[in-house]
Amino acid sequence: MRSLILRTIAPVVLHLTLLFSLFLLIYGHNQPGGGFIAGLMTSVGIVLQWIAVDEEEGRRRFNWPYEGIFLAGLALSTLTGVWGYIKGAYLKSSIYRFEVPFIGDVELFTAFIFDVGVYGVVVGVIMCIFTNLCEKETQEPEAEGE
Amino acid sequence: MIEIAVQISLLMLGASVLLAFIRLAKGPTTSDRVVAADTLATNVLGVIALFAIQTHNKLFIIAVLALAILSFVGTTVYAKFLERGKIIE
Repeated sequence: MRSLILRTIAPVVLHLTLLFSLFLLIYGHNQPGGGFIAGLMTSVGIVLQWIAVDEEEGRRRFNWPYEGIFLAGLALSTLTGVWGYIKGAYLKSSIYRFEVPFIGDVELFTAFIFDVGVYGVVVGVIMCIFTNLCEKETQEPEAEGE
Repeated sequence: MIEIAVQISLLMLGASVLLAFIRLAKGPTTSDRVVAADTLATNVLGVIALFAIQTHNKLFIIAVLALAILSFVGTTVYAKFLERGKIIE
């Protein structure tokens, strides 16, 4: 029923994947890397946690609104393009500079906001597919019994 | 010196990929095929790392990290599927 090795390894891998996905998300603002692969890494970590525990416990632990995350990411990506259209720089990366206390100068690219939107879309879509597959797998024997 | 070492390592990894692919093609059981696929992924990681050394390009190291995590999770899920018959129970 429950594999001890998998249940011991899964939290360690969750930390690794979350850190690495954050690194990919920040690193890829004007270089290879970016939202898609970072979202893939995050969902791989969550899926491995889900596999290590039961289906009910996974549903209790990761009961997040995945459809909402997907829609919010899509809206964020779209609004980035609309914002560029209003400002007269459609589909061009704008750079904003901020003065953050204790850190110093921070450059914010609009491509980074677009990448955050793509990240939300990928996490939402993959976890939606995964939860729907779980539901179908558990409901099929009941339908056969009737 | 490092160039010759990289060339020799690439040749050996190529032979290893070939052997793993033969086991993947004609493995008698599914478990043999899964182990062969994991070995193949690890060898590909080595090839990408050697390519990064050869071209002095840091970007391939990130590809190595991503592929390592993905192949680990894939092998784990396949092992659980072979043992239990169901991935999520």
